[in-house]
Formats: sequence, structure tokens, C-alpha cells
Amino acid sequence: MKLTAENIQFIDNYLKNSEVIYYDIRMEMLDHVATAVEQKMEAENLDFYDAFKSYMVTNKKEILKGNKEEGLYFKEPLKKFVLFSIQPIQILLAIGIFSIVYFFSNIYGLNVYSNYLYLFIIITYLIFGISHFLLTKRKKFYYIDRNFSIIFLLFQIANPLHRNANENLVTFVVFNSSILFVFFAFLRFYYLEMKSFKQKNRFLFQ
Amino acid sequence: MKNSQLYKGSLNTIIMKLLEEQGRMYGYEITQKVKGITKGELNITEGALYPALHKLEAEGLLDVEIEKVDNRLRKYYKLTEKGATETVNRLAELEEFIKNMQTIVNPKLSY
Repeated sequence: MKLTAENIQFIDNYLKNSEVIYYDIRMEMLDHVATAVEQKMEAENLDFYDAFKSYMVTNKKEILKGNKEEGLYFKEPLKKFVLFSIQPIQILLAIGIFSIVYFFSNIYGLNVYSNYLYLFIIITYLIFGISHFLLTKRKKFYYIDRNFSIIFLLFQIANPLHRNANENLVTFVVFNSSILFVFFAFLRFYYLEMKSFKQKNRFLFQ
Repeated sequence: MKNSQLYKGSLNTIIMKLLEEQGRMYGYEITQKVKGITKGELNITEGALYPALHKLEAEGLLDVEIEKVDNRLRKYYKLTEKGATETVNRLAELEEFIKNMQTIVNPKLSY
């Protein structure tokens, strides 16, 4: 016995109210519950609400476990990002950035240059953050938020280091080149991951 | 999952073996298939299955396809090329494990 669109909406609302906020996780849970309820209705000759209630009484705890994936939130994407960052093309980008930072800090001096650099990073970061927000405003995706969380982690690491790093030319160039490199590598990583996620999951965006 | 500590380490291999045989499957189908094969002895819980599937997907061993089925979306999993190679390795490892366990638990049978 197949569930109606209203039945499906009912299960979706139930999961939403149980704080399954990520659409990619919720739609998989929804299909699981819906298929199990359909089979229960057929096997035990129950109507939708009775079958749903009976199924959730015994399985709710297990079903909702999927809402809290095991392990560190950003562990898998961080691993993927590190592998992405050491590809040959990224190494070329790193050398390019290092040369530019070295060249400009020699010409303009450390203080002037570092102000422009941080202003540039903050503006790019804001544009990126707003785009991410607009993209996931209607529906939140676990996969995308998890990738986005890497940038917070990187800022947490970089923030306490930047004062000490600006003391002399060598540490300045190394630190700021690394920041710029990681930042640009992350933007590219995020864009490519988003693109492949959207391609694979185009139904989720309809 | 029944006797969870004993089965836990083999969950990924069980999933990969099923996908190798069936081509592509969705979550609920995997739980029912395992239940059917083992005549209800082994019951993979949702709380163990989905994190395992997502981890295998993140490792590049599984690929996904999403389709609209009966008023809802369904996520199918299938092995990637890397996943197919890894399945062969993990099955060989599991067989070796079973053989060793057999030797320890029941030494007479192993001769």
C-alpha cells in the first residue's frame, strides 16, 4: 500500500519537529520510515496513523540516531580538504601566492600591506558567508554545512597566531602566504564540492 | 544489531558485499535483505546503518543516486570502482578472520 503525498508530508513534519534540520539527512530518514510504514500497513492491515505510531514507538530512538552522526563534525571533509590542498595545481598556487606576498611586502612594508591583506580577506569571507547563507536559507544540508565548518576551524587556528607572525619579514611572508593559500584553496574546494553535490543531488534542490 | 560487538566490525563489509551482488540498494532495502538472508537473526539498526553508509560514501567507496519514488526521494547506494576493489580485499580479510576464529573456537574442525 503506497503512502499519499499528505502522509509523506506528515512524516516530514514529524521529523522536522524532532529537530532533524538537515534536508539531506531528513529525506533519507523519511524514505526509510515511509517504506517501513507501508510494509507494516500491508502486513498488519493497519491504517497509516496506526502503522506510523506503532513503528515509531519501537524505532524512533534508532531512527533519530542518524541525526547525530558519529565522530567529529568536520573530520571527513577536513581530511578531503587536506588531500585536495596537496594536489600539484595547488602547489603551483602556493608558490604564486608566496611570490606575490614576498614582492609586495618588500615594496610597501609590512604594516601597510598587512592592513590591505586582512581587509581583502575579510571582504571575501563576508561575500562567501553571505552566499552560503543565501544558498542554504530555505533548506539546510548537512554535507554543505560540514564543508563550510572547515573555514571556522581554520580561522580559529590562524587568529591567535597572526600577531606574533607579523614581527619580521620571514614569519610575515610565510604566515600570510599560508593564510592566503589555505583561504583560496578552501574557496575552490567549497565551490567544487558544492558543484558535485548539486549535480549528484539535483532532486534535493527542486 | 544482534551481538553488536561481534558484528560491528563487519558491518561495512556486509554492506559492500550486498552492493557487489545487487548493484545498487537503498537503506531500508539493505536492512531487509540482511534480515532475510539471516532468517531474522541479524538485524541492522538504522542508527548503525546510515552513519556507516555515509562514511563509506565520504571515503569514496560508495556513490549515490537520488530518484523520485512514490511521492518521496530515495537515495540509492552503489560501489565505486575503488569500492569494488576494496570489497574484494575486505572479503578476503573477513574470510581469513573467520578461518582463524574457526581454528581457535573449534580446533578439530579445522583439520
